[in-house]
Amino acid sequence: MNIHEEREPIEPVQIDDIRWEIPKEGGMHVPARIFASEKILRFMKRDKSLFQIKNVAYLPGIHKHAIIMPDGHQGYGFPIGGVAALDVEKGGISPGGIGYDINCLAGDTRIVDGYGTSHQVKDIETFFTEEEQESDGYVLKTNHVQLGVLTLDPRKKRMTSRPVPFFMKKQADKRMLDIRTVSGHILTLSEDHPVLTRQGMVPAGLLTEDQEIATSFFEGLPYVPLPSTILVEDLPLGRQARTFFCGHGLLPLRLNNPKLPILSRLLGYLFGDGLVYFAGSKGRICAYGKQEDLEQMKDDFASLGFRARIYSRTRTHTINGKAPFSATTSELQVSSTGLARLLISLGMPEGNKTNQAYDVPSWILRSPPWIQRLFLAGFFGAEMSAPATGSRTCFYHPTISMNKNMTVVEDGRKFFISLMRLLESLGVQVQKISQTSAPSNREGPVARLKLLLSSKEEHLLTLYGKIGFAYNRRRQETAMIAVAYLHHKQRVLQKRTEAERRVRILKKKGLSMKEAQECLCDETVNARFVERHYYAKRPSRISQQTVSFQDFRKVQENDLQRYGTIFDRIEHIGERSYDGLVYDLNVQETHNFVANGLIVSNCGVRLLRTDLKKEDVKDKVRPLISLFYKNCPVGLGVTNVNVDYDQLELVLEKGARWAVDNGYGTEDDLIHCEEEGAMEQADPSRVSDRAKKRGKRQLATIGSGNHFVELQYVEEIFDEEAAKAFGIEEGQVCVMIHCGSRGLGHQTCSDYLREMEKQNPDLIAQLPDRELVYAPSGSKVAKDYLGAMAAAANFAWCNRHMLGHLVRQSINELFPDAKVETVYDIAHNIAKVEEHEVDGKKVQVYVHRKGATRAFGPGRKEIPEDYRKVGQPVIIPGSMGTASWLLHGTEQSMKESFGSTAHGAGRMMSRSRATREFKGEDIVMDLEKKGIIVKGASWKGIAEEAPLAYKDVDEVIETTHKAGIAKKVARLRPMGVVKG
Amino acid sequence: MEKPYEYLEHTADAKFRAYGKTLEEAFKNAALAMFNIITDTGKVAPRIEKTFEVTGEDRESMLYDFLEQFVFLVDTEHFLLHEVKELSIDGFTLKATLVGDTLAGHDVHTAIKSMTYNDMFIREEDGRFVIQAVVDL
Repeated sequence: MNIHEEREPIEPVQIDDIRWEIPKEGGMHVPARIFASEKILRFMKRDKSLFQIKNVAYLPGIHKHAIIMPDGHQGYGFPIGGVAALDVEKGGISPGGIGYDINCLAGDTRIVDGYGTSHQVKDIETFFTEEEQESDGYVLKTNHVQLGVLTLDPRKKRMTSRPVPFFMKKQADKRMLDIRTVSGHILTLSEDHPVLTRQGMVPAGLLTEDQEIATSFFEGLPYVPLPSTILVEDLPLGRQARTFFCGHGLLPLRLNNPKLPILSRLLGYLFGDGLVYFAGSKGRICAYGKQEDLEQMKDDFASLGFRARIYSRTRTHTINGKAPFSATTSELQVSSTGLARLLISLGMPEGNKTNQAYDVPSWILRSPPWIQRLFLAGFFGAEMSAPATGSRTCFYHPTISMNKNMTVVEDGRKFFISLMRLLESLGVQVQKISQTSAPSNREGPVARLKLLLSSKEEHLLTLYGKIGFAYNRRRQETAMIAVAYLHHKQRVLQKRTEAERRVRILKKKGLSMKEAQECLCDETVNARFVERHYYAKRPSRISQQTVSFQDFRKVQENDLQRYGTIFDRIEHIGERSYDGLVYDLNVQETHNFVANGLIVSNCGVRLLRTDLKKEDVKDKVRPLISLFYKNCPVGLGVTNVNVDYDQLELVLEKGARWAVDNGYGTEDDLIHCEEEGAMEQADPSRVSDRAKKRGKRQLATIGSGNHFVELQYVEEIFDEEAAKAFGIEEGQVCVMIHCGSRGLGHQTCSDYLREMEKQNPDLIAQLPDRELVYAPSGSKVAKDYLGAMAAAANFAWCNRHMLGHLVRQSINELFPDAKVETVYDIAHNIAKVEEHEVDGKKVQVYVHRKGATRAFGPGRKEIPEDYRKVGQPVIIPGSMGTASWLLHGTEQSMKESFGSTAHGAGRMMSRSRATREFKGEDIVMDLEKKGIIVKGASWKGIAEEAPLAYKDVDEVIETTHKAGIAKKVARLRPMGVVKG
Repeated sequence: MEKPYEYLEHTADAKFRAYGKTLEEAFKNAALAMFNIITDTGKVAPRIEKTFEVTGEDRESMLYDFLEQFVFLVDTEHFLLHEVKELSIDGFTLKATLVGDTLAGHDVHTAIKSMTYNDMFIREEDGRFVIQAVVDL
């Protein structure tokens, strides 16, 4: 069975016969340019090539176009046949370099900070006081105060607080959209603002109604500035402790202390499952809970300046002789006399709470709601029951229980009454305070007090959506799901009430009950509903068909696990006229784009020319191919030259030069390689031991897949002058080698892909494809990657150089006097710093060629002198058994495609389909009939490379030639091939 | 019996889905799906035993590292898998014990060059785990 993912097809705009464009939209920084004939474009539309090239256009710092060549097809991340030039220089924090984050929100958009307090985005500016920078109409400010906003950590799959280093505002200059979700959230943002969907980040302009977007159902309470009231003037502390407390800004403690929100939250939890006591004169703070929740608390203690330890132990219990079960309990401890004193002076009871009188601290009662909320959320995290339903759809009363010795039961009641008054002032009603007796403790009889909160939906929405739970991830998540569910339920009810109104209207209009049923029945109302409301006026109820909370929760929990967020459906997207300022916060620290994991190993092609003619070798093709097969091993697990690690370092550093130094090939071969066979930036020490281990035994081997060594002859010349410069004439025998850096290059890519991911976890959620992860400019990993990639490219050049020489030796075994020279050697998969002209200016760019060939036009100094007048040779292998081509680079490719062109025929059929449709044996026989000898490592490998699995290379070349991004020089026909 | 894995269309590379009642079983089947691209695992003798451990930052990266380890073993030790005998997952740390043979004498269809994140997912669907991955050929 084949499973195809459905997506809206992309319809590019036609520019001329062979040029198409996907116009810039949403978060694309540039349009995407496609070089294709109509026929080729049809193939591209069949897979994800066009989606992928569009994704490339989202990369920050990209110049002019994201380009796809005529041989383009689906890859991963980048499409194969993709070219992109990305700016090298725009480092630092210039808005141009930040690119990715300048997507704008309307000023009244609510942002929830790390404390669960909400701010209008425009007010957040007041936190950014220090520096200001203006350019291109942007105002950019940096943050030197502690402000974190709640954001999705895609690694941990949960919401976390992240610092906001930058704040930006500018005049709105793009279409602004109002997006309303089913639960009534409204977001006003510019069309290029990325929004998280199940398919990754999508610019708002590309969202559609009914699509689901990540939604946080936690609203929090609005921020108001705090007065500088003194809460704790001084504490009895030793000299050292006093220095520490004053140094950490904890003494004197004022209400507007930046650490107060954390203290309030911690205090709330300690009032529940915590204990503060003194053993002798040493103060200690303990809290009990789940390990992961205590870890969060530990972080909070750390930000106050205190180190907490967590102890976990698993104990086995037996209750009433039943099967024993084990339970893990965790405890957090902080040893600090000063902190114990501080907490006690903030109202924390000392020692056992059951037999003590205490109340909600009076300073909490006088604080603004957002501080009160933090105390309550902490307390609820320890003490309040989790949201749960009694029936399918109705929630239980949230409950808080507390045991009190009878001697202090009145104080316990007073504490609950304070809580009640506090909650009611925040909009949550209390249902009841009850008292029952509980088992006595050693202090005497004990009463169990219960505070039942209202289970009315409006109250639950406030309780779960605005107050919530702290230090209790599970309950906080359940609360969010409960809020989503309550919105869902309200929506269903609203629809039913609306339907009920329409039943009465239809009745008034004289419709019969049956007729009214026909008009109205859908998924929210059934025939029975219409009947009931047709004959009697009754209030609408939630129907039995409505999804139960349990089932709703299962779906949402699955999303939370997978995405770290839950989703809400878009109900309406509307354009809004908006001409004020728009705002954005920048949650990451690094932006500029340099290197990314999109570069796979550095495969390439080398073309050798001989002074033999087709007629000379006609009868010796089979023995020649056998010699190639013997001397240039193919397939898995074969070794040709086993170098030691010291030598391998030299290979990585010197590339093809190492081969020449060790007796493989000549100086003349070297001159005729792109980069003369070695990239200077190579840093072998940046290649991992794993990669070296894979590469060590693979030097001078071809590998597998589409790699090969092919014996060819020149069938036709199209450009006499260029052919002459390249030393090519009709009937001449040539050899083409296609292979790369083997396991070493692939391992290097994997290593750095994983490393970049680890270092930039935030990035993954922002990118449409995890494979597109990149390293920020100037970062160590970016630098390391470039050094390692160049080293891997050097390995590839050395590999082809050695193979070229082995081919030469093979030919000389049969034709001792034949001359075999290198025409040229080019890389297909590489990122290089090059100078190009963009809008009349010379810029340094990283040109990424992923399955594309460099095709420099005449005159460039990078081209060997003997070819410089005609332009760089471009070698394009066809599929097995079909023609290959030699072309030359042009002025046009410099202007249009950053000196790049196609690299091959381009697959159009999957390998699995090819192996189903073709048999290796048949292909070999067919090709033999055409006079082409094939020798391969496996039949299946040959079937996968069936000629029909590829686009017609001639069509690709025609398109390339017509576009002028390389011009035809000669067509080569195969006589025999060794397949990897 | 339900099939442990299946192959999907992908223009250039090999894409598969592996299934399992548990996450562990799905991971085991993903390894089989991957090796049956290279060779017929049924014909590989369980002659050599190997154990390794990988740790990711989430389930996807753990899968990436797990399958990538095989690419590494094939290249460096010429190891072919018969099956994953034991596999345990604790958080994002995976321990596996493999049995298989060296590749000498086996019919090898093709080599896997690299693991990728392309189109990767790990899902729980209808009470079973589904893993999808694409490997670079």
